Amino acid sequence: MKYIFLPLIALLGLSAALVTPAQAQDYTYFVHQIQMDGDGDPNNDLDWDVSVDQEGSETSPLAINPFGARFELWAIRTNPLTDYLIDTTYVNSYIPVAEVVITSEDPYEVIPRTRADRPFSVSIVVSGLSVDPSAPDPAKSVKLLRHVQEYPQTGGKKNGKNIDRGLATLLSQGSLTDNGTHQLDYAVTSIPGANRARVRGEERFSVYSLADFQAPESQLDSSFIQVWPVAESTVTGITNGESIKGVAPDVSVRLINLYPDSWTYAQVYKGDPQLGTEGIIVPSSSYLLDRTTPRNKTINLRDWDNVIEEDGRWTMEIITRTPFGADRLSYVSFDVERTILINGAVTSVE
Amino acid sequence: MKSKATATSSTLIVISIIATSLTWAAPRSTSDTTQMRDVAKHDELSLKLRMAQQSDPVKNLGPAIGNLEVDPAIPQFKRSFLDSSTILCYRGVITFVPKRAVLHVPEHLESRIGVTGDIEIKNWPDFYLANRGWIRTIEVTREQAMGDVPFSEATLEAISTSSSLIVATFKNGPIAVRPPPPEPDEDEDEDEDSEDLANNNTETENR
Repeated sequence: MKYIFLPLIALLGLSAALVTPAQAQDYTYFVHQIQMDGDGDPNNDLDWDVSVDQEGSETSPLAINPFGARFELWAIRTNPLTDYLIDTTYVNSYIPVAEVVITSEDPYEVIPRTRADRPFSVSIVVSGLSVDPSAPDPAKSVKLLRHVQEYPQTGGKKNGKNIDRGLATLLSQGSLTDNGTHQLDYAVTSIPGANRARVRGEERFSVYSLADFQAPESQLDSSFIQVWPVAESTVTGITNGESIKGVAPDVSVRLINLYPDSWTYAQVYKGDPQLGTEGIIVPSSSYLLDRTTPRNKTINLRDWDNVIEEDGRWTMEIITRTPFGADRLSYVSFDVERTILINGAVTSVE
Repeated sequence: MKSKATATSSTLIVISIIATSLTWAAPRSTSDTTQMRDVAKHDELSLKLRMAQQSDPVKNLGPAIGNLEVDPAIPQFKRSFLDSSTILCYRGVITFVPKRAVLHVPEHLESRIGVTGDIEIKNWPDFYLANRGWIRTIEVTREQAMGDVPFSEATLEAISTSSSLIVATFKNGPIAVRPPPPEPDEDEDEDEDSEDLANNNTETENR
């Protein structure tokens, strides 16, 4: 029996998580090495808790047997007791190696993420494929799978927590037969959803080895990107073309699906709507969101007269700024007529 | 140390947010312009999607080979750490060890298997350190864990009579232990031989 020792990399620090620093204390991490025995029944595979440090790397002392081993990194949440499979890698003596990296315009590093209207790229680095034409298929080729899964629009699973990933749709699959980097660019997500602007879910790209006489098809690497909906806003309290003759009315701005890393505000400027104009930010209209998931918010504007400097046509816009740039969510134009004209005469009576 | 690191991270984030806010909140002339767009709508995105679906880069890689009928990712998605672990619990603190790593649970410790009430999770080294009074570990070899080499009679005796909960470990990490394959049953072999003999006799009689 041939024994090999492969480096076990503890990605706990990087993957620490799924979660913001404030949430990190809710998670405990476990790395398991699962020795496969080749009979295809996972119940017979050998499961070992590696007990690594929170951060760092080490060599696994448990030799990989001829059927290979899978390393799994799990994050366990206390309340409710939930397990999250963060990463998994299959290693064997004669198996290609693959690494999947997904990037978007959002530099957030914990989980790749983007928005329903934005592009993303998948980079797959493959090595170890045989160039011998007579080699068997499992030595010359690996399989790439693309899964998509929609999150529910409402409820506790709308942000992807505790969803059944077994229900993900296998959208497409292909073969990688060359060593090196393969770059796949996507203009927009293909996650299902009737309203394309409100799509929320995840796309997963996985590289699998082909089955051979020793082991079944096994996941070499996998990565997923979360896709969040495009924000929307509704302005109430003021209507298009309304005339303001006295105090500015109270205005309510309903914001839906604000991007996790966003700054949203209302601005006003004199004149008709003109995209790209930077106006005066309405006091107390700013909302800064720094979370891992989208959020809804209602902003109430009161006593905002001081930003209306003179009479005439004015425009109020709701702007959201994200890693993708500035987007105008909605706008309304109104006329200000505050100057009071008094028609009268002065007379005297003796 | 960990909380200090977390506090530092939080501080950095707060500083970053403040700095960003200050930048954005700086006074601007109304004549300034910036790259801004109207938010994307459904119709525009539907068109984009149709175009994108016409040239999925995955399909362009070439046809997949191997078993295309079965999605190999499904078993992976369905993996559950909780289902494949035994939970040890004491005074609201729990840890997880692989199923079949617990070799012996005396009757008076059975209540410490599973979750009760509010809990805090510890990894194995920390949990074991705090619970050595009732947990004993047995360091096993790789061959023993694979079920290739059985435990000695003395070890089995010590395990079964222990008043502590016994966990199998390899290099200090809990490890599942496969039972050794059943030894060939000599009686069954004899029966098969007898049956064969009986068949032969029958054939002889028929001739």
